[in-house]
Amino acid sequence: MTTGNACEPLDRRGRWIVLLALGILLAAPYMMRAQSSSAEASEATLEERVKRIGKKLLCLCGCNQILVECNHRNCPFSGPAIATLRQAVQRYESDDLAIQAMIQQYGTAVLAAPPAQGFNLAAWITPFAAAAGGLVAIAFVLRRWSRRSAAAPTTGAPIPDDPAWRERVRQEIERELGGLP
Amino acid sequence: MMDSLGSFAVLLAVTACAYAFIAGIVAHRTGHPVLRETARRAGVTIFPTLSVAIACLWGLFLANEFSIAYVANHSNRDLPLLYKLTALWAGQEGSLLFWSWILSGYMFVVLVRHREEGELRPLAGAILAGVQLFFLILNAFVVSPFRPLAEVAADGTMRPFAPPDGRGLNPLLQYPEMALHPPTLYLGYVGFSVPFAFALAALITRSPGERWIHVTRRWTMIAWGFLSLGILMGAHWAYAVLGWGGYWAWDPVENASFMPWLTGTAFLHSVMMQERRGMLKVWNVWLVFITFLLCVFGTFLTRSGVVSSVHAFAQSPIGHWFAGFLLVVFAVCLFFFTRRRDYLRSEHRLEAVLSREASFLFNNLVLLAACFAVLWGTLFPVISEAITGNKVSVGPPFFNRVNIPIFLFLLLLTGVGPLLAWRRTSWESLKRNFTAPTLIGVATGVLLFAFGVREPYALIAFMLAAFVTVTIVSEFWRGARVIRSQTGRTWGQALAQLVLRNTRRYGGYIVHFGIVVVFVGIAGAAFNKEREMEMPMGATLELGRYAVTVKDRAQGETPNYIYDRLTLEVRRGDKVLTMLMPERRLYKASEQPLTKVMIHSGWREDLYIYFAGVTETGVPIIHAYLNPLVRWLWIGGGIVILGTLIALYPGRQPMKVAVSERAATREREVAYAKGD
Repeated sequence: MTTGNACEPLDRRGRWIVLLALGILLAAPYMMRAQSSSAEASEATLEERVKRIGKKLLCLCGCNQILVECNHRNCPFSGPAIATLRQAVQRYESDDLAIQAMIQQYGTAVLAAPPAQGFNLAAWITPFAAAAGGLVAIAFVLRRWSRRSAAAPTTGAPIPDDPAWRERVRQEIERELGGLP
Repeated sequence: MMDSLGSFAVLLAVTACAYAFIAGIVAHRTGHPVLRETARRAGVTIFPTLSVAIACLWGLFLANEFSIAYVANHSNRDLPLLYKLTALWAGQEGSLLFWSWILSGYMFVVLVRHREEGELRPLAGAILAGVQLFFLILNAFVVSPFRPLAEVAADGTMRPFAPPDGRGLNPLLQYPEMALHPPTLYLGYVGFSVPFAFALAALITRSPGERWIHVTRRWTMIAWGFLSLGILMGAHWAYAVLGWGGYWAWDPVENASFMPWLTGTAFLHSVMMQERRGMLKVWNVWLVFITFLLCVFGTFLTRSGVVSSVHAFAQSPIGHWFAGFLLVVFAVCLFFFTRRRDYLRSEHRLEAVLSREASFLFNNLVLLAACFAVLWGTLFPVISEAITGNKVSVGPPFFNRVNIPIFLFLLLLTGVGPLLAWRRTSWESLKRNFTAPTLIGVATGVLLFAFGVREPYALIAFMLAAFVTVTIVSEFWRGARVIRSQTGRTWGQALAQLVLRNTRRYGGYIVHFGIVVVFVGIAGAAFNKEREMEMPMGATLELGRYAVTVKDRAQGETPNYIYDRLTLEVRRGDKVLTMLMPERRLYKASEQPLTKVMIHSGWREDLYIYFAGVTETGVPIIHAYLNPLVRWLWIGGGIVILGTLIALYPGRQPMKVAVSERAATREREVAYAKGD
């Protein structure tokens, strides 16, 4: 009958357990660090998201500042609103959902820029439409003026066809511009 | 005593102004010379009379006369002397009196200086008196700064009341720059009344010749210069005092000052087409009108409370007065425009798209598009609420997204416009003038991209800045080179002679260069960094190249406020750069808090430190910003002002150049007619 002893080599399963334990021992510091980094990263990500989303929102205390940039001491709006935003960011993975939560809480006025939908689309389109309209108007004016000038190249007072007058004009130009290009 | 004298002076000014206005109009219609002269003299007396009122109000502040409501609401015994003086424009009543005083000063100069304008000046004086009358009526009867405080006595009657001390000045206004920001801004706003008066007078009288447009342009340039300086100082005040790390928040009141600046800029460009080519007369007259109307509209926004603003100290129920005035002025402008439209017919037509004239049209389009975008964004919350019933906000993200492309296009035109010839530009000249600037602009972009700059708008801004700078430098270089070759002078002397020969043209180029530098400063905002940290004694915050360590914390008080002050050591590597001492203050009289920002400013970036607060355990919280290139914004603004001063300085041949341009045009016309 044989009995095992301490010096007996480990069986196959035992070897695996030891290897696993050694692996865990060796990896533990890295895992702990990684876990800690992951927690920090998660924290950093949370704050980054709060900052990123907060820059799309406005403080409604009347200061007209971006929510996360409002620095009024004891501001009645920005402090509680940033806390609400932090909760929303924790609750929702999507930035859009977090923003929706803020809109539900504070109304659309909390958005720093009007959403591009419905009537608010006019806010975005109108300035560019006006500029485009101006551009078309200028093109029209240029075209009309060009045609008229082609038809009538000279306007204003009649031009004297006098060599002495021409020479005087040339001398005046030479004198006053001093030969500048 | 002083309050009675001040009130009397304002009433006297109202009387003189009413006479100047009515007699001026009657004299214009009847041509009565005595009436005309008495109207002028009555107008001249308004400035000294209002100066007495201003002196009285200052006297009341210095004497701590808290029986006067305005003094009690904006001052206190321990307020430093400088701020007792600046408190004059800290509130509604005083700032409106200050506005009237500045307007009367402008009127004084116009009535004394422009005696040679024939029929134009008396009518312009009467129009100025009309504008002045509106403000004086407000000063005298609606928002008088000399109103005494009163309390209800036990028997139910009202009796005079003087508190032992005042409420103090808003801490945000207790900053040295506040001594200059409002006056310069007002000089700009109010200054636009003068070109408005001359333009309207010229339209009414069908003023012959172009003298009126020269006068209008010059006065517009003065007002524009002051407005630029006022806006710049306001931005610097916001940066150095408000503590959010920025200088422009697209606040409605900021927008109100920016809109007339944009239309004024458009006028200063398009007026050249009228002076040189007799074109765009209708456009120019309306630009002057709109600029003035926007100034009044801005005041309406500031004081009506129709939109929410950080400038809440200026809100009051006098908005409807301004709305009424705005409507009346607009109606008058429209009436005379429709009656005198034939007077504004253009003398010439545009001949080519590739010409200076066309570039001015595009420049005007871009400036007006920017103005409209700002106006639209400012009013959209009101419009949206009126139509849909829903409140929306329009903040910096909207204005930045809409305006940045517009302004970048404007920057491009700043470089392109001056290099195009009047009437027509050939492709050869285009190639010759633009090859080097374009190559350098592109090379700048490639270089910055290689160095890791990836922000598209900033990259485009830097490329365009390089492009425009090269075009401006080449203009100076070519001119100075000719003078050098003709006179053998040094480069410095040649440049000075070049600028003095045509201050308007080269002053304008300097203004353009200033704008380029401003753009560079603004583009730096794309690379801002910030960090907030709880900082117990000895803690270090690292941001960019800097390390900030808390070295000391002190608490104490002055007669004016209680403070909590940190001493921070700023290091870069091993080198100690400076010690910064940000504070949190509580002003005793007003019981209002304020945080004193500290800035370590450099050519490359600003380190901006804000004492944000303290934790529940009393540990200070520091918010630090790293703002690249901000110094260039202020330098650029300074260059703009310098360029404006140069442009205003009478050049050696300012009028002759304009004449020669016309002569050159005429000479080309002769050549064209003869088939040369």
